[in-house]
Amino acid sequence: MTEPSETDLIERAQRGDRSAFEALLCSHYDAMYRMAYKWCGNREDAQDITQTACIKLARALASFRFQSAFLTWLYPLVINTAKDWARAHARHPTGDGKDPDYAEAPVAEQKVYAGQVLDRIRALPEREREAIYLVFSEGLSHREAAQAMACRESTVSWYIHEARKKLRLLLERESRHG
Amino acid sequence: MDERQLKEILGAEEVPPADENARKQAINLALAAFDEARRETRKKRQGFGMLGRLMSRDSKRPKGRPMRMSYVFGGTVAAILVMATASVFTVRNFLDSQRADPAFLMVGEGDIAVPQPAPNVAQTTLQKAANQPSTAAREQLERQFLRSSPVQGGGVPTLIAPGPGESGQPPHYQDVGRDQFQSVEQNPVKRVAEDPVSTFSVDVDTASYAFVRRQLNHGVLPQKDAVRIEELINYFTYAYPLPEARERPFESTVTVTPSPWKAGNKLIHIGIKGYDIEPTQKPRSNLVFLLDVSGSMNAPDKLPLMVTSMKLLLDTLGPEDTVAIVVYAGAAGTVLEPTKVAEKHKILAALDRLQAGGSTAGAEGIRQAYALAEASLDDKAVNRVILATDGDFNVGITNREELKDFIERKRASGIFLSVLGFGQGNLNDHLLQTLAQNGSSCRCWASARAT
Repeated sequence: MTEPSETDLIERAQRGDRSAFEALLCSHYDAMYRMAYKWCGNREDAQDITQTACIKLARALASFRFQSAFLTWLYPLVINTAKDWARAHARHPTGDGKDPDYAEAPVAEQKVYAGQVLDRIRALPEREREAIYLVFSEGLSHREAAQAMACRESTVSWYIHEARKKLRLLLERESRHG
Repeated sequence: MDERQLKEILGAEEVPPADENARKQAINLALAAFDEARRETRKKRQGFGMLGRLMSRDSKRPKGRPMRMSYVFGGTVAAILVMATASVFTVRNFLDSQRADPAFLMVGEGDIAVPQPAPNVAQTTLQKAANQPSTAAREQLERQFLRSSPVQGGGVPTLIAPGPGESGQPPHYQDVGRDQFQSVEQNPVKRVAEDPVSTFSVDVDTASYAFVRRQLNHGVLPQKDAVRIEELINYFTYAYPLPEARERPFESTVTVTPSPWKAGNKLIHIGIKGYDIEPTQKPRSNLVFLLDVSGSMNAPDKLPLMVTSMKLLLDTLGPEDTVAIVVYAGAAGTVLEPTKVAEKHKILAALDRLQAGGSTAGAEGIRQAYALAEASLDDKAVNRVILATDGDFNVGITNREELKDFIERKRASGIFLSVLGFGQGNLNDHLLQTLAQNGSSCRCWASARAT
């Protein structure tokens, strides 16, 4: 989707054009779902989170002011929905959060290591995790991430520093104890 | 670990594509919310005619302000709404539920008004509630009543039949299906003076919600008796305060409000929340899976779904827990003797060997399962038989009462029963409910897990 037509769609949707809003949803559903999945690591939850985020978008769209890229603006919407979701469903653990046949995958070692790192990232404090995810997974600059997280750029850098310190410590401890 | 590695790992995580139905449903729901927001804005503009038009034309923030105002407006309406729906559902629950799960009472000063059948009650409430807010709010209320389920959390409608209902075509409805449900009798209104004691059961059945959701997702109205309101309400986890210590088995949250349909009457809403045991402290489990592999289970949403569910359950067990598997079809047989979860591969292999075929000697299966559970009975552990079936018992004891007695006797020996229902078209809901209630346990229904 090219930039001008996205802007056009958003403006029309903000004026109450239903079909424009529908087109906007269709073109961004996958991106929103992907954000949700990366956050929670589970297909069913990601779908539910995306659904709630889409419903929220119907009202929230009016407050989008074109001060950042639309996608950057969407991150906090989806991630906050995901956080609320995680809190509401904390009492219903779904297995260990991994794909059931993950461990049986043939390319074992690489995948297992990656899986461990992902688990560690998911166990980080929310804000640090959010920063790591926006910068390393979504490729946002620290400045853009700061915009999405509504904090200062230096705070983002600090979150990332802290998170990496924790990840490194955890992984080192792991390798020492075999 | 350096940045590049982190980026690679995060980037390489595979994201399975979202289910097409989930996508459509999300978009439909969002569009419904969009329409709602738009209607509110329009109402707002009509109400403040001049002002609305002045602001929406050439101001620097063309869309922002009216929408934001309407947002505040929407907030108040939602608040009124939550109260209104909550009370109606309270009453409907009171009227409809056989075993009022969260107990509901009605107290009057003097005589107790007998509410008319539920739809009228809903209407009265609407009118009463609508007296205070504006016409817009009233329309809003009506709309909500017609379209949404109990308002949960942020006021997001959770149960809207997609597609057919919108376009004006009545969805397919069939009151009699092959799925059997016990018909629901409305609870009578009782005088507190005559019946001062009310009891409630602490089990939480949720099967009805999952079944109804599945039917609605397929554009079919569920059978009337399949809709058990207390199960719809109990499906969700409510944020009632928890008891602080284990000594207090449950905490009650009581709200008293003036009755919306008769001045002078009071409506009491009692929410019960049980003590929450930390999952980390769970005792050892001694489980026997009793799996129905009869011919009727031969459908993608039955046996394969059941096997997947059992595997998921396995993942939550500790290495010291034991699992045994009994299957039944034409005859019942033990597929796996009690095995420690540490030897998970054995259990998985046994599950993968299952095939569907034959008739259904359910009663014999239940006997064998209990025998196995007794053989490895551990007083300190959770001893439980987990029955997974589509509910069709057609060989051996088919008499409900006889089965019920058997399960009740076993409960006294410390072995409990959980019942999981699968598929549709054959679901004998009443039998399963009888079994689960007498096995001192819950019964739920598994909807398809799209893979």
